[in-house]
Amino acid sequence: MTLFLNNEVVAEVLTMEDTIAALEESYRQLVSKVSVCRPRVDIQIPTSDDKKIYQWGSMEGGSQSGYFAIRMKSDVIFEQEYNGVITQEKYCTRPGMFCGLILLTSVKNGEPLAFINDGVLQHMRVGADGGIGVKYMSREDSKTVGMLGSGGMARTHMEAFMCVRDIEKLLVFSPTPANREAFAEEMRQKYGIEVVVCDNPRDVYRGVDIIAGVTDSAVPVLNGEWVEEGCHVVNVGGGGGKPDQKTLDKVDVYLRFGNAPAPWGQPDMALEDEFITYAAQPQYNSNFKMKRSGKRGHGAALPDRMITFEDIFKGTNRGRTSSTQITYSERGNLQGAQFWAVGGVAYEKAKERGLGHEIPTEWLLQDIRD
Amino acid sequence: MTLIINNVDVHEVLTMEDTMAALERSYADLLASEAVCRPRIDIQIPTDEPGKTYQWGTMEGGSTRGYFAIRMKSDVLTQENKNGIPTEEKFCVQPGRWCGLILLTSIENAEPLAIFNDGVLQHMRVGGDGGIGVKYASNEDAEVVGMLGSGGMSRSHMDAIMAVRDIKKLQVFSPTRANREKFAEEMRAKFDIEVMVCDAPEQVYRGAHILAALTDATVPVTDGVYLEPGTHIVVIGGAGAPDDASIDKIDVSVRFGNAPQPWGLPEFGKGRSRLTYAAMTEQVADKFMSPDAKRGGRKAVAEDRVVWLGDILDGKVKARTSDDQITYSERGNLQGAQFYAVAGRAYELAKAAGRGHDIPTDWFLQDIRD
Repeated sequence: MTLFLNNEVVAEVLTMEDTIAALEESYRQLVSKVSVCRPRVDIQIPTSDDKKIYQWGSMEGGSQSGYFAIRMKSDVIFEQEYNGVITQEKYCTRPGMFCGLILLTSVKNGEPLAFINDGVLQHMRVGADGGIGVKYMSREDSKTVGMLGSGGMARTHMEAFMCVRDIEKLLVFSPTPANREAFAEEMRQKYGIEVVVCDNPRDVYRGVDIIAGVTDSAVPVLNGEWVEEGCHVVNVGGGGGKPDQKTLDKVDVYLRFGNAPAPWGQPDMALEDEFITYAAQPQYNSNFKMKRSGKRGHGAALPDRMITFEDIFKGTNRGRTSSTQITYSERGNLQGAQFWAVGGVAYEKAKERGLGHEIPTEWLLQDIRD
Repeated sequence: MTLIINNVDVHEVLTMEDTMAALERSYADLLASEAVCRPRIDIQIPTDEPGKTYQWGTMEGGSTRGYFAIRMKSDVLTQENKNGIPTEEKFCVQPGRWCGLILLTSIENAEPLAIFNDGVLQHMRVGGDGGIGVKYASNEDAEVVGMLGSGGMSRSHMDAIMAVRDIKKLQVFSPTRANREKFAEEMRAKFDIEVMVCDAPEQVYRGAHILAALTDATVPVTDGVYLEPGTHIVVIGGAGAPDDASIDKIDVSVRFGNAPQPWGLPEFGKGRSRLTYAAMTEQVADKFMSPDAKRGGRKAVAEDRVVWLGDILDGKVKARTSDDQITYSERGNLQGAQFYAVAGRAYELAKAAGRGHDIPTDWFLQDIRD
């Protein structure tokens, strides 16, 4: 039988510790070429509404240790202005619903093992990457986190930081007071830590060891002027996924987990891009202010100050060398290496507990070869 | 509801005429940038058994007319030797079973509309391409087909060739006598034409106006020595190209097109039949990687003599300018432009006929955004 695992099942079985461990193992395997992934590839097609674009995205990877997975996203995207900030919105079939699916297969015999809704897993894997960056790059005695954002990504990032550092205090800001208050209360309850709700972004930077910008803003939310000595920087979203230039200017050491390998026999086709996009009507600009159309995804942010997991795992460079350095970590275009690893753990645990819907695997197989 | 549409459903509702019409429209839309596709991308991972390699492959594309599709293949490959000819064998879960799936979505609201088994549709789209090549490049009075191969591809090619030319005679060879005789009898009964069963491959070339080599060999099976003037050549398998002697004799090579380039990457994968990402070191690849993957896919056949289908459809050129010319046709790396077009049509027909299993679309959706 092939399983359908929804977000409730994933939330029930998958822990942040599992996620961090699975991802670290996957990144180790990539370095030794036991696993593989490819860069994210998107397809964009204008819909009949000139403010909306269909966007399909996929990421793939797998390992000799047994699993392969593709993650697929199918959404209509459009832009919206809220309190003067442009955000990218999306839906599938109707507002409030989204389509993100992981198909997990067995490397041993090709079997389609499970379809997994990616919502919970997606937040966990992004949060876990933040945690892995903190684990390898922040000061070991980091105790204070400053956070911009109070949504799903803020929650998983706190969970991941709590796994790898002994955090005692959180300072948080997000534009809507009710949201930041609710988040603060939740974090107090969940972790028994001190939480300070800030009514402006500036205060979030004061005295923190880790600063995390985790929003869906279409423009950078971090402000490098306020980043203090010794701080470790994490950034998700905020305009192309990169911090603002002032923050980048201040970074001493940049950990990029790695780059997806080049296609076999085509070393000149190695890419650092976060994604590549194929588009119908490529001249079409759709009134999109974010203007992703026509642009490539960003590559290595700071090549001159960069180390990768290859350096760390092979012991050639361990990253931070002083408590005053400002460090920054990001995954790189390894998204495809995440879903087989984390999806595989979620599948095993769900199966063990008999969770999920079943459909006959035979429906997905055939007796006609190509 | 999302439909699961199996091979019997597709066979019942989809005709070769539908298939060819959908493909021709898609190729025209691609030229007008109303449709988009990307080259095929494969992932190869060694299994824990010597000589067995997991291979995942995908093709994607869609159009402003309304549909997007991804085709996904999940199989274990082995390199074998059949009657002295190297072939690639594959299976999913167990020998005699394969996994090829198409996920069709709507570009208007991103909804996952259907999951198809791809077996029948796959043969029809490949045969449909053969027929399109014959339609635009073979002599208009072509009436004799020489065929190497007697499997599923031979059947769909005969359907397509019969749809565009007034064929009177088929000459067929395949290594196993029982197979070629069974195929011959089937073609006699289906099309009421003369069928000659050949005992040696060279016999199929004599007096043939169309030569179709349709096998799962991994080396070329055509032999240019036997090609006669005026012949049109179609090749499937056999490393995806005719032998060098045939290529030397080709006067005109019709290519349907190349996948467009991603944003900002004018050379990425240009014209290549596929890109392969592999979880292997060079040493492991010697034992586990398939020959075509090792080559990094291939580029256009007889590139210096290419005539583009787009120019033919626009009336700018004719493929064939004399009866004596030897012509050849191939799709190019547009596989991704085929599945949304043909599966979209098959979906409409299956839905109208009330065919397919229903599964709740909500299984694919979620209320958590990324």
